[in-house]
Amino acid sequence: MDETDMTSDLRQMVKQQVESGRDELASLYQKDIQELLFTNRSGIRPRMAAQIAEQEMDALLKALDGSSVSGREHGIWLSQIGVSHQTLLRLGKSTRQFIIAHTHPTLLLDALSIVDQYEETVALGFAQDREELILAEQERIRGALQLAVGRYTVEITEVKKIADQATEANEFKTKFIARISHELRTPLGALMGMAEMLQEGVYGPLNDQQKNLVSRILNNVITLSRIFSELLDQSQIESGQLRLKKETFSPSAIVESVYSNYLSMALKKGITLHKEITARVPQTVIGDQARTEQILSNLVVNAIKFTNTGSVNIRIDGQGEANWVLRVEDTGTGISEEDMQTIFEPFRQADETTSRRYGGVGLGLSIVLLLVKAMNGTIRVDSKLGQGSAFTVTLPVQPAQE
Amino acid sequence: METKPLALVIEDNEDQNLVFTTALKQAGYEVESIFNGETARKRVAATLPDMVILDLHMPEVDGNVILGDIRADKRLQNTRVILATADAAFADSLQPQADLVLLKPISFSQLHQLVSRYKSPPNE
Repeated sequence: MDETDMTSDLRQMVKQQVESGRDELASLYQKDIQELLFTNRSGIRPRMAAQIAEQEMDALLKALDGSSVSGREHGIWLSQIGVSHQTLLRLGKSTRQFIIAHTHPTLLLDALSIVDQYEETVALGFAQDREELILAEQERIRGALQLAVGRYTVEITEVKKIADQATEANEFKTKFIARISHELRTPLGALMGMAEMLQEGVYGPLNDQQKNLVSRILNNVITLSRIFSELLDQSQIESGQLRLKKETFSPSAIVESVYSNYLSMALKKGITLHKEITARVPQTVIGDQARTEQILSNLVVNAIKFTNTGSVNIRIDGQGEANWVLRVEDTGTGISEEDMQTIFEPFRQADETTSRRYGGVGLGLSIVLLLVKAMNGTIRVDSKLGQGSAFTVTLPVQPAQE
Repeated sequence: METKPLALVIEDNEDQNLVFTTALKQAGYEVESIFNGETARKRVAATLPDMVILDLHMPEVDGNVILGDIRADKRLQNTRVILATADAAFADSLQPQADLVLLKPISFSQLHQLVSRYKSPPNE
Protein backbone atom coordinates (compact mmCIF):
# COMPACT_ATOMS: atom_id res chain seq x y z
CA MET A 1 0.00 0.00 0.00
CA ASP A 2 1.61 3.22 -1.08
CA GLU A 3 1.21 6.48 0.63
CA THR A 4 -1.47 7.83 -1.74
CA ASP A 5 -3.66 4.80 -1.17
CA MET A 6 -3.19 5.10 2.55
CA THR A 7 -4.14 8.77 2.45
CA SER A 8 -7.11 7.95 0.27
CA ASP A 9 -8.27 5.24 2.73
CA LEU A 10 -7.82 7.62 5.60
CA ARG A 11 -9.83 10.27 3.81
CA GLN A 12 -12.63 7.76 3.24
CA MET A 13 -12.68 6.80 6.89
CA VAL A 14 -12.69 10.40 8.09
CA LYS A 15 -15.39 11.14 5.52
CA GLN A 16 -17.54 8.32 6.90
CA GLN A 17 -17.11 9.66 10.42
CA VAL A 18 -18.09 13.16 9.30
CA GLU A 19 -21.13 11.87 7.35
CA SER A 20 -22.40 9.84 10.28
CA GLY A 21 -22.16 12.86 12.55
CA ARG A 22 -23.21 15.33 9.89
CA ASP A 23 -26.14 16.82 11.80
CA GLU A 24 -24.06 17.30 14.91
CA LEU A 25 -21.21 19.06 13.01
CA ALA A 26 -23.70 21.15 11.01
CA SER A 27 -25.32 22.41 14.19
CA LEU A 28 -21.86 23.26 15.61
CA TYR A 29 -21.11 25.25 12.44
CA GLN A 30 -24.51 26.87 12.50
CA LYS A 31 -23.97 28.05 16.05
CA ASP A 32 -20.56 29.54 15.21
CA ILE A 33 -21.78 31.20 12.04
CA GLN A 34 -24.79 32.61 13.79
CA GLU A 35 -22.61 34.09 16.53
CA LEU A 36 -19.86 35.42 14.39
CA LEU A 37 -21.47 36.25 11.08
CA PHE A 38 -24.95 37.44 11.89
CA THR A 39 -24.43 39.24 15.16
CA ASN A 40 -26.78 42.23 15.16
CA ARG A 41 -28.33 41.22 11.83
CA SER A 42 -31.80 39.97 12.73
CA GLY A 43 -34.42 38.45 10.39
CA ILE A 44 -33.05 35.81 8.02
CA ARG A 45 -30.43 34.79 10.53
CA PRO A 46 -31.25 31.09 11.31
CA ARG A 47 -32.00 30.00 7.73
CA MET A 48 -28.93 31.67 6.25
CA ALA A 49 -26.72 30.22 8.97
CA ALA A 50 -28.11 26.74 8.31
CA GLN A 51 -27.51 27.11 4.57
CA ILE A 52 -23.91 28.23 5.04
CA ALA A 53 -23.36 25.41 7.54
CA GLU A 54 -24.71 22.85 5.02
CA GLN A 55 -22.50 24.25 2.26
CA GLU A 56 -19.50 24.15 4.58
CA MET A 57 -20.24 20.52 5.33
CA ASP A 58 -20.54 19.65 1.61
CA ALA A 59 -17.30 21.41 0.89
CA LEU A 60 -15.54 19.56 3.71
CA LEU A 61 -16.84 16.20 2.44
CA LYS A 62 -15.79 17.03 -1.14
CA ALA A 63 -12.35 17.92 0.13
CA LEU A 64 -12.18 14.60 1.94
CA ASP A 65 -12.93 12.93 -1.44
CA GLY A 66 -9.54 14.31 -2.47
CA SER A 67 -10.34 17.39 -4.49
CA SER A 68 -8.41 20.12 -2.64
CA VAL A 69 -9.33 22.66 -5.35
CA SER A 70 -12.88 22.77 -4.05
CA GLY A 71 -11.46 23.69 -0.62
CA ARG A 72 -9.87 26.77 -2.18
CA GLU A 73 -13.07 27.65 -4.07
CA HIS A 74 -14.97 27.26 -0.85
CA GLY A 75 -12.59 29.70 0.86
CA ILE A 76 -13.17 32.27 -1.85
CA TRP A 77 -16.92 31.75 -1.62
CA LEU A 78 -16.84 32.20 2.18
CA SER A 79 -14.91 35.43 1.86
CA GLN A 80 -17.31 36.72 -0.77
CA ILE A 81 -20.44 36.24 1.29
CA GLY A 82 -18.70 38.17 4.05
CA VAL A 83 -17.57 35.35 6.37
CA SER A 84 -14.75 36.80 8.38
CA HIS A 85 -11.39 35.21 9.01
CA GLN A 86 -12.45 34.91 12.63
CA THR A 87 -15.46 32.73 11.64
CA LEU A 88 -13.24 30.59 9.47
CA LEU A 89 -10.90 29.93 12.41
CA ARG A 90 -13.89 29.04 14.57
CA LEU A 91 -15.20 26.58 11.93
CA GLY A 92 -11.79 24.91 11.89
CA LYS A 93 -11.84 24.60 15.64
CA SER A 94 -15.33 23.03 15.53
CA THR A 95 -14.19 20.59 12.86
CA ARG A 96 -11.20 19.54 14.94
CA GLN A 97 -13.32 19.16 18.07
CA PHE A 98 -15.74 17.01 16.09
CA ILE A 99 -12.91 14.79 14.69
CA ILE A 100 -11.40 14.40 18.16
CA ALA A 101 -14.78 13.41 19.58
CA HIS A 102 -15.78 10.91 16.84
CA THR A 103 -12.65 9.40 15.27
CA HIS A 104 -10.92 6.26 16.47
CA PRO A 105 -7.78 7.18 18.52
CA THR A 106 -5.38 5.33 16.14
CA LEU A 107 -6.72 7.34 13.16
CA LEU A 108 -6.89 10.59 15.03
CA LEU A 109 -3.54 12.24 14.12
CA ASP A 110 -3.87 11.35 10.44
CA ALA A 111 -7.50 12.47 10.36
CA LEU A 112 -6.55 15.78 11.96
CA SER A 113 -3.76 16.35 9.44
CA ILE A 114 -6.22 15.73 6.56
CA VAL A 115 -8.68 18.20 8.05
CA ASP A 116 -5.80 20.66 8.64
CA GLN A 117 -4.88 20.40 4.95
CA TYR A 118 -8.47 21.12 4.02
CA GLU A 119 -8.51 24.15 6.32
CA GLU A 120 -5.24 25.39 4.91
CA THR A 121 -6.62 25.31 1.38
CA VAL A 122 -9.80 27.05 2.50
CA ALA A 123 -7.78 29.64 4.40
CA LEU A 124 -5.51 30.09 1.39
CA GLY A 125 -8.50 30.58 -0.91
CA PHE A 126 -9.98 32.97 1.61
CA ALA A 127 -6.73 34.93 1.85
CA GLN A 128 -6.24 35.05 -1.93
CA ASP A 129 -9.69 36.38 -2.51
CA ARG A 130 -9.21 38.79 0.38
CA GLU A 131 -6.01 39.91 -1.23
CA GLU A 132 -7.97 40.90 -4.28
CA LEU A 133 -10.53 42.64 -2.12
CA ILE A 134 -7.75 44.42 -0.25
CA LEU A 135 -6.03 45.39 -3.50
CA ALA A 136 -9.34 46.67 -4.88
CA GLU A 137 -9.95 48.63 -1.69
CA GLN A 138 -6.45 50.09 -1.82
CA GLU A 139 -7.04 51.08 -5.43
CA ARG A 140 -10.31 52.74 -4.50
CA ILE A 141 -8.70 54.66 -1.61
CA ARG A 142 -5.80 55.71 -3.82
CA GLY A 143 -8.27 57.01 -6.41
CA ALA A 144 -10.28 58.90 -3.83
CA LEU A 145 -7.07 60.31 -2.40
CA GLN A 146 -5.86 61.44 -5.80
CA LEU A 147 -9.20 63.09 -6.44
CA ALA A 148 -9.06 64.83 -3.06
CA VAL A 149 -5.47 65.93 -3.63
CA GLY A 150 -6.46 67.23 -7.05
CA ARG A 151 -9.33 69.23 -5.61
CA TYR A 152 -7.15 70.42 -2.75
CA THR A 153 -4.47 71.57 -5.20
CA VAL A 154 -7.06 73.54 -7.15
CA GLU A 155 -8.37 75.09 -3.93
CA ILE A 156 -4.86 75.95 -2.72
CA THR A 157 -4.13 77.61 -6.05
CA GLU A 158 -7.36 79.60 -5.79
CA VAL A 159 -6.67 80.61 -2.19
CA LYS A 160 -3.11 81.58 -3.09
CA LYS A 161 -4.38 83.67 -5.98
CA ILE A 162 -6.84 85.48 -3.72
CA ALA A 163 -4.14 85.98 -1.07
CA ASP A 164 -1.76 87.35 -3.70
CA GLN A 165 -4.43 89.73 -4.92
CA ALA A 166 -5.12 90.86 -1.35
CA THR A 167 -1.40 91.43 -0.72
CA GLU A 168 -1.13 93.32 -3.97
CA ALA A 169 -4.13 95.47 -3.07
CA ASN A 170 -2.66 96.12 0.36
CA GLU A 171 0.73 97.02 -1.07
CA PHE A 172 -0.98 99.31 -3.54
CA LYS A 173 -2.90 100.94 -0.69
CA THR A 174 0.30 101.54 1.28
CA LYS A 175 2.10 102.96 -1.77
CA PHE A 176 -0.94 105.01 -2.71
CA ILE A 177 -1.23 106.56 0.75
CA ALA A 178 2.53 107.25 0.88
CA ARG A 179 2.41 108.87 -2.55
CA ILE A 180 -0.71 110.94 -1.85
CA SER A 181 0.58 112.04 1.51
CA HIS A 182 3.88 113.04 -0.10
CA GLU A 183 2.19 114.88 -2.97
CA LEU A 184 -0.12 116.74 -0.59
CA ARG A 185 2.65 117.86 1.74
CA THR A 186 4.34 120.02 -0.86
CA PRO A 187 1.36 122.34 -1.56
CA LEU A 188 0.53 122.17 2.13
CA GLY A 189 4.04 123.41 2.90
CA ALA A 190 3.59 126.30 0.49
CA LEU A 191 0.20 127.19 2.04
CA MET A 192 1.58 127.07 5.54
CA GLY A 193 4.67 129.11 4.69
CA MET A 194 2.71 131.79 2.87
CA ALA A 195 0.11 132.15 5.61
CA GLU A 196 2.96 132.53 8.10
CA MET A 197 4.65 135.13 5.89
CA LEU A 198 1.47 137.20 6.09
CA GLN A 199 1.21 136.60 9.84
CA GLU A 200 4.83 137.65 10.40
CA GLY A 201 4.15 140.88 8.56
CA VAL A 202 6.65 140.22 5.76
CA TYR A 203 4.45 142.33 3.48
CA GLY A 204 3.48 144.89 6.09
CA PRO A 205 1.33 144.83 9.22
CA LEU A 206 -2.16 143.21 9.19
CA ASN A 207 -5.27 144.57 10.81
CA ASP A 208 -7.02 142.47 13.49
CA GLN A 209 -9.53 140.91 11.10
CA GLN A 210 -6.77 139.90 8.68
CA LYS A 211 -4.68 138.48 11.54
CA ASN A 212 -7.68 136.46 12.72
CA LEU A 213 -8.33 135.01 9.26
CA VAL A 214 -4.68 134.15 8.67
CA SER A 215 -4.45 132.37 12.00
CA ARG A 216 -7.57 130.36 11.08
CA ILE A 217 -5.97 129.41 7.76
CA LEU A 218 -2.89 128.24 9.62
CA ASN A 219 -4.89 126.17 12.10
CA ASN A 220 -6.64 124.40 9.26
CA VAL A 221 -3.37 123.73 7.47
CA ILE A 222 -1.92 122.23 10.67
CA THR A 223 -5.01 120.03 11.09
CA LEU A 224 -4.74 118.80 7.49
CA SER A 225 -1.08 118.10 7.95
CA ARG A 226 -1.77 116.06 11.09
CA ILE A 227 -4.42 114.00 9.30
CA PHE A 228 -2.01 113.15 6.48
CA SER A 229 0.67 112.16 8.97
CA GLU A 230 -1.75 109.89 10.82
CA LEU A 231 -2.93 108.22 7.60
CA LEU A 232 0.66 107.65 6.53
CA ASP A 233 1.68 106.34 9.97
CA GLN A 234 -1.26 103.96 10.18
CA SER A 235 -0.61 102.51 6.75
CA GLN A 236 3.17 102.25 7.24
CA ILE A 237 2.97 100.66 10.67
CA GLU A 238 0.29 98.24 9.46
CA SER A 239 2.39 97.19 6.50
CA GLY A 240 5.41 96.64 8.75
CA GLN A 241 7.44 99.48 7.23
CA LEU A 242 7.96 101.23 10.54
CA ARG A 243 11.63 101.32 11.61
CA LEU A 244 11.95 102.13 15.30
CA LYS A 245 15.14 103.95 16.23
CA LYS A 246 17.32 102.94 19.14
CA GLU A 247 18.45 106.20 20.66
CA THR A 248 19.03 107.33 24.22
CA PHE A 249 16.52 109.86 25.46
CA SER A 250 15.04 111.26 28.63
CA PRO A 251 11.40 110.35 29.41
CA SER A 252 10.93 113.56 31.38
CA ALA A 253 12.02 115.63 28.34
CA ILE A 254 9.15 114.02 26.40
CA VAL A 255 6.68 115.00 29.09
CA GLU A 256 7.99 118.57 29.15
CA SER A 257 7.73 118.84 25.37
CA VAL A 258 4.19 117.42 25.14
CA TYR A 259 3.12 119.54 28.11
CA SER A 260 4.30 122.79 26.53
CA ASN A 261 2.86 121.83 23.11
CA TYR A 262 -0.65 121.19 24.41
CA LEU A 263 -0.92 123.58 27.35
CA SER A 264 -2.61 126.27 25.24
CA MET A 265 -5.04 123.73 23.74
CA ALA A 266 -6.12 122.77 27.28
CA LEU A 267 -6.32 126.36 28.48
CA LYS A 268 -8.48 127.28 25.47
CA LYS A 269 -11.01 124.66 26.63
CA GLY A 270 -10.86 125.97 30.18
CA ILE A 271 -9.32 122.80 31.63
CA THR A 272 -6.00 122.42 33.42
CA LEU A 273 -3.08 120.31 32.22
CA HIS A 274 -0.86 118.82 34.95
CA LYS A 275 2.43 116.97 34.71
CA GLU A 276 4.00 114.74 37.30
CA ILE A 277 7.43 113.11 37.02
CA THR A 278 8.21 110.79 39.93
CA ALA A 279 11.68 110.18 41.34
CA ARG A 280 11.59 106.59 40.10
CA VAL A 281 11.57 107.58 36.40
CA PRO A 282 14.82 106.46 34.76
CA GLN A 283 17.09 109.38 33.72
CA THR A 284 17.42 107.91 30.25
CA VAL A 285 15.89 105.05 28.31
CA ILE A 286 16.70 103.52 24.92
CA GLY A 287 14.08 103.65 22.19
CA ASP A 288 12.52 105.86 19.54
CA GLN A 289 12.12 109.31 21.06
CA ALA A 290 9.85 110.81 18.39
CA ARG A 291 7.54 107.77 18.33
CA THR A 292 7.37 107.65 22.13
CA GLU A 293 6.47 111.34 22.14
CA GLN A 294 3.82 110.57 19.51
CA ILE A 295 2.23 108.01 21.87
CA LEU A 296 2.06 110.58 24.65
CA SER A 297 0.82 113.40 22.37
CA ASN A 298 -1.96 111.25 20.93
CA LEU A 299 -3.13 110.27 24.41
CA VAL A 300 -2.97 113.87 25.65
CA VAL A 301 -4.79 115.28 22.57
CA ASN A 302 -7.48 112.64 23.02
CA ALA A 303 -7.84 113.40 26.72
CA ILE A 304 -8.18 117.14 26.08
CA LYS A 305 -10.69 116.52 23.26
CA PHE A 306 -12.96 114.45 25.48
CA THR A 307 -12.70 116.56 28.64
CA ASN A 308 -14.93 119.59 29.00
CA THR A 309 -14.39 120.41 32.67
CA GLY A 310 -11.67 119.53 35.13
CA SER A 311 -8.20 118.43 34.19
CA VAL A 312 -5.85 116.21 32.24
CA ASN A 313 -2.93 114.75 34.17
CA ILE A 314 0.29 113.40 32.61
CA ARG A 315 2.26 111.19 34.97
CA ILE A 316 5.41 109.17 34.34
CA ASP A 317 6.85 106.67 36.75
CA GLY A 318 9.44 103.91 36.93
CA GLN A 319 8.38 100.29 37.27
CA GLY A 320 11.11 97.99 38.57
CA GLU A 321 14.42 97.92 36.71
CA ALA A 322 13.11 97.01 33.31
CA ASN A 323 10.09 99.22 32.65
CA TRP A 324 8.75 102.73 32.85
CA VAL A 325 5.15 103.92 32.78
CA LEU A 326 3.34 106.73 30.98
CA ARG A 327 -0.09 107.55 32.33
CA VAL A 328 -2.65 110.06 31.03
CA GLU A 329 -5.70 110.62 33.23
CA ASP A 330 -8.66 112.87 32.53
CA THR A 331 -11.93 113.91 34.11
CA GLY A 332 -13.70 113.70 30.75
CA THR A 333 -16.66 111.87 29.27
CA GLY A 334 -15.25 108.40 29.91
CA ILE A 335 -15.76 105.30 27.79
CA SER A 336 -18.65 102.82 28.05
CA GLU A 337 -17.85 99.13 28.44
CA GLU A 338 -19.23 98.50 24.97
CA ASP A 339 -17.10 101.19 23.31
CA MET A 340 -14.04 99.90 25.16
CA GLN A 341 -13.95 97.00 22.64
CA THR A 342 -13.49 99.23 19.61
CA ILE A 343 -11.55 102.33 20.69
CA PHE A 344 -8.25 100.94 19.38
CA GLU A 345 -9.67 100.08 15.96
CA PRO A 346 -8.68 102.43 13.13
CA PHE A 347 -11.20 105.05 11.96
CA ARG A 348 -13.26 104.53 15.12
CA GLN A 349 -14.41 106.93 17.71
CA ALA A 350 -16.36 105.80 20.72
CA ASP A 351 -19.41 107.69 19.55
CA GLU A 352 -19.81 108.10 15.78
CA THR A 353 -21.07 111.64 16.36
CA THR A 354 -17.83 112.55 18.12
CA SER A 355 -15.97 112.80 14.84
CA ARG A 356 -18.23 115.68 13.94
CA ARG A 357 -17.95 117.25 17.38
CA TYR A 358 -14.28 116.58 18.12
CA GLY A 359 -12.68 116.31 14.69
CA GLY A 360 -9.93 113.93 13.66
CA VAL A 361 -10.16 110.77 11.59
CA GLY A 362 -10.05 108.35 14.50
CA LEU A 363 -6.53 107.04 14.05
CA GLY A 364 -4.92 108.44 17.21
CA LEU A 365 -5.51 105.47 19.51
CA SER A 366 -5.03 102.93 16.74
CA ILE A 367 -1.56 104.35 16.10
CA VAL A 368 -0.85 104.40 19.85
CA LEU A 369 -1.67 100.70 20.08
CA LEU A 370 0.40 99.79 17.00
CA LEU A 371 3.39 101.77 18.31
CA VAL A 372 3.14 100.35 21.84
CA LYS A 373 3.04 96.83 20.37
CA ALA A 374 6.01 97.55 18.09
CA MET A 375 7.96 98.72 21.17
CA ASN A 376 7.06 95.52 23.07
CA GLY A 377 5.10 97.56 25.58
CA THR A 378 1.57 97.22 26.96
CA ILE A 379 -1.39 99.56 27.24
CA ARG A 380 -4.24 99.51 29.73
CA VAL A 381 -7.43 101.58 29.83
CA ASP A 382 -9.41 102.26 32.99
CA SER A 383 -12.60 104.15 32.36
CA LYS A 384 -16.26 104.44 33.20
CA LEU A 385 -18.85 106.44 31.32
CA GLY A 386 -19.06 109.90 32.92
CA GLN A 387 -16.14 109.26 35.25
CA GLY A 388 -13.10 110.04 33.13
CA SER A 389 -10.45 107.76 31.65
CA ALA A 390 -6.90 106.67 32.42
CA PHE A 391 -4.55 105.26 29.77
CA THR A 392 -1.49 103.50 31.16
CA VAL A 393 1.38 102.61 28.81
CA THR A 394 4.23 100.46 30.09
CA LEU A 395 7.42 100.53 28.00
CA PRO A 396 10.74 98.70 28.37
CA VAL A 397 13.72 100.79 29.51
CA GLN A 398 15.67 99.23 26.66
CA PRO A 399 14.54 97.15 23.72
CA ALA A 400 14.96 93.37 23.95
CA GLN A 401 18.15 92.02 22.35
CA GLU A 402 17.43 90.66 18.91
CA MET B 1 30.51 146.76 4.59
CA GLU B 2 29.68 143.26 5.77
CA THR B 3 29.00 140.83 2.92
CA LYS B 4 25.92 138.66 3.28
CA PRO B 5 26.35 134.87 3.30
CA LEU B 6 25.07 133.18 0.11
CA ALA B 7 22.23 130.67 0.17
CA LEU B 8 20.84 128.55 -2.67
CA VAL B 9 17.20 127.52 -2.38
CA ILE B 10 16.83 124.41 -4.57
CA GLU B 11 13.12 123.55 -4.76
CA ASP B 12 11.03 122.89 -7.87
CA ASN B 13 7.71 123.99 -6.38
CA GLU B 14 7.59 127.74 -7.09
CA ASP B 15 5.35 128.63 -4.14
CA GLN B 16 7.41 126.62 -1.71
CA ASN B 17 10.58 128.13 -3.18
CA LEU B 18 9.20 131.62 -2.59
CA VAL B 19 8.53 130.81 1.09
CA PHE B 20 12.03 129.40 1.66
CA THR B 21 13.66 132.25 -0.25
CA THR B 22 11.77 134.85 1.79
CA ALA B 23 12.68 133.19 5.10
CA LEU B 24 16.39 133.21 4.15
CA LYS B 25 16.32 136.78 2.88
CA GLN B 26 14.67 137.87 6.13
CA ALA B 27 17.39 136.08 8.04
CA GLY B 28 20.01 138.14 6.19
CA TYR B 29 21.16 135.86 3.38
CA GLU B 30 21.84 136.71 -0.23
CA VAL B 31 19.55 134.16 -1.93
CA GLU B 32 19.52 132.51 -5.34
CA SER B 33 16.34 130.53 -6.10
CA ILE B 34 16.78 127.45 -8.28
CA PHE B 35 13.97 125.29 -9.66
CA ASN B 36 15.63 122.22 -11.17
CA GLY B 37 18.34 119.75 -10.35
CA GLU B 38 20.60 120.22 -13.36
CA THR B 39 20.85 124.01 -12.89
CA ALA B 40 21.38 123.42 -9.18
CA ARG B 41 24.48 121.24 -9.80
CA LYS B 42 26.05 123.94 -11.97
CA ARG B 43 25.19 126.82 -9.62
CA VAL B 44 26.46 124.98 -6.52
CA ALA B 45 29.86 124.45 -8.21
CA ALA B 46 29.96 128.02 -9.58
CA THR B 47 28.82 129.99 -6.52
CA LEU B 48 30.17 127.88 -3.59
CA PRO B 49 27.26 128.82 -1.28
CA ASP B 50 27.36 128.97 2.54
CA MET B 51 23.89 127.48 2.87
CA VAL B 52 21.78 125.16 0.68
CA ILE B 53 18.11 124.42 1.19
CA LEU B 54 17.60 121.23 -0.78
CA ASP B 55 14.45 119.47 -1.95
CA LEU B 56 14.89 115.77 -2.76
CA HIS B 57 12.46 114.96 -5.59
CA MET B 58 13.14 117.28 -8.52
CA PRO B 59 13.09 117.18 -12.32
CA GLU B 60 16.30 116.01 -14.07
CA VAL B 61 18.50 115.50 -11.00
CA ASP B 62 17.32 114.47 -7.53
CA GLY B 63 18.51 116.21 -4.38
CA ASN B 64 20.56 113.25 -3.15
CA VAL B 65 22.89 113.62 -6.17
CA ILE B 66 23.40 117.30 -5.41
CA LEU B 67 24.03 116.46 -1.75
CA GLY B 68 26.64 113.92 -2.89
CA ASP B 69 28.30 116.60 -5.08
CA ILE B 70 28.49 119.03 -2.17
CA ARG B 71 29.94 116.50 0.27
CA ALA B 72 32.54 115.40 -2.30
CA ASP B 73 33.73 118.96 -3.04
CA LYS B 74 36.53 120.19 -0.74
CA ARG B 75 35.69 123.81 -1.52
CA LEU B 76 32.26 123.23 0.05
CA GLN B 77 33.49 121.85 3.41
CA ASN B 78 31.73 124.60 5.36
CA THR B 79 28.52 124.58 3.36
CA ARG B 80 25.45 123.84 5.47
CA VAL B 81 22.83 121.66 3.82
CA ILE B 82 19.24 121.58 5.08
CA LEU B 83 17.12 118.90 3.43
CA ALA B 84 13.54 120.08 2.99
CA THR B 85 11.37 117.21 1.87
CA ALA B 86 8.08 115.39 2.27
CA ASP B 87 9.71 111.99 1.79
CA ALA B 88 10.59 110.89 5.32
CA ALA B 89 12.06 107.52 4.33
CA PHE B 90 14.36 109.03 1.67
CA ALA B 91 15.40 111.80 4.07
CA ASP B 92 16.18 109.25 6.81
CA SER B 93 18.68 107.50 4.57
CA LEU B 94 20.44 110.81 3.81
CA GLN B 95 20.36 112.21 7.33
CA PRO B 96 24.04 111.44 8.13
CA GLN B 97 25.18 113.62 5.20
CA ALA B 98 22.88 116.56 5.96
CA ASP B 99 23.23 119.23 8.61
CA LEU B 100 19.51 119.16 9.22
CA VAL B 101 16.42 117.40 7.85
CA LEU B 102 13.13 119.27 7.82
CA LEU B 103 9.93 117.46 6.89
CA LYS B 104 7.27 119.34 4.93
CA PRO B 105 5.11 121.16 5.76
CA ILE B 106 7.89 123.39 7.12
CA SER B 107 7.07 126.38 9.26
CA PHE B 108 8.27 129.71 7.85
CA SER B 109 9.15 131.11 11.25
CA GLN B 110 10.93 127.91 12.30
CA LEU B 111 13.07 127.94 9.15
CA HIS B 112 13.72 131.64 9.65
CA GLN B 113 15.01 131.02 13.20
CA LEU B 114 17.10 128.03 12.17
CA VAL B 115 18.91 129.73 9.30
CA SER B 116 19.51 132.83 11.45
CA ARG B 117 21.27 130.62 13.97
CA TYR B 118 23.38 129.02 11.20
CA LYS B 119 24.46 132.36 9.74
CA SER B 120 27.90 132.50 11.29
CA PRO B 121 30.26 130.02 9.56
CA PRO B 122 30.86 126.86 11.68
CA ASN B 123 34.62 127.45 12.09
CA GLU B 124 34.30 130.83 13.69
